[in-house]
Amino acid sequence: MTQKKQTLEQRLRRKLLVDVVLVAVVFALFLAQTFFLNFRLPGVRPAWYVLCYVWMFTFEFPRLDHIRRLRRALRNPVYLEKARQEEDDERRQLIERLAWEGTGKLLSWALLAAMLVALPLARLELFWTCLGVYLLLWGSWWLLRRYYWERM
Amino acid sequence: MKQWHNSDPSDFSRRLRREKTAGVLLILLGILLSGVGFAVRLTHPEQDETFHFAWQLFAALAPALCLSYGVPLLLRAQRLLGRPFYQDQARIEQEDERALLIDQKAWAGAGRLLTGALALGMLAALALVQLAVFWTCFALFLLLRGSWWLLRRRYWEQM
Repeated sequence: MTQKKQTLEQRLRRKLLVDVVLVAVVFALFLAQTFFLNFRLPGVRPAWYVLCYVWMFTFEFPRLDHIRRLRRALRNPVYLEKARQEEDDERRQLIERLAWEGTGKLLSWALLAAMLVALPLARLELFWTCLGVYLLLWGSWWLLRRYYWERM
Repeated sequence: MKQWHNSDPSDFSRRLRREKTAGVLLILLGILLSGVGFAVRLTHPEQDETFHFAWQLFAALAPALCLSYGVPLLLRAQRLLGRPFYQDQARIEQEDERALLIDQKAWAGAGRLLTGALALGMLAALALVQLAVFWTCFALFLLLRGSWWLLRRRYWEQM
């Protein structure tokens, strides 16, 4: 695995760089969207607030915290050792993977059920969105399984 | 740690019989949904073309989804139940740790990709003022993250 060839510091620096770039891109996107959106249209304002809250709490605040922890680990050898232990924690990795596996299977069935409900109700936007997400889920699973992990 | 696949051969036979029943039920459900889809066209001639187009799609896709799951499930169970040697092979395959690991890693990758895709989908849908798409993506996002969090915290962490 190429990951093993890099040193821990190199991996942490790479993660730090990715996180900083992502934070910058996201804040730029959100700022641009604020000027671009037409808030006078009905339903746009609540949807915008929901998106801001969800995105910030799910992605950006944990990412900012991650940046803080990465910088601390790169400065302090004690925290560097802690980061190494966390990276090697097999039980935590297993729990994460099992949770994703269960979620993926649950979501596949939920998407199929939603497609079956959306069609009789003639909600075609709902149907096509669910079908797109379903294909994305299974397609990425299949591609990752066949062309990435099976070759390791 | 919980064992996902019980190694007892008689348990595996029972599991195969359950899979066979599930396969039959899915095929029957597909046929039933197809019948319902076509019956609506006959019983509601006054409705517009969009309504009938959606029902035709439903009548074609619902059975296709049910059959795509049901038929392979039934055929596999039927094939393995009659042949103890192949049944043993299939059981060993299901317990193959490498296969399980690859599956889990692919799910983890797909889950993370999908989370990002849904978040971007929400951003794009809002920019295009497609609110139905926005709320669908939001519901799927909540389902994805919520079930991940619940499974992680309430199920796997307590094993």
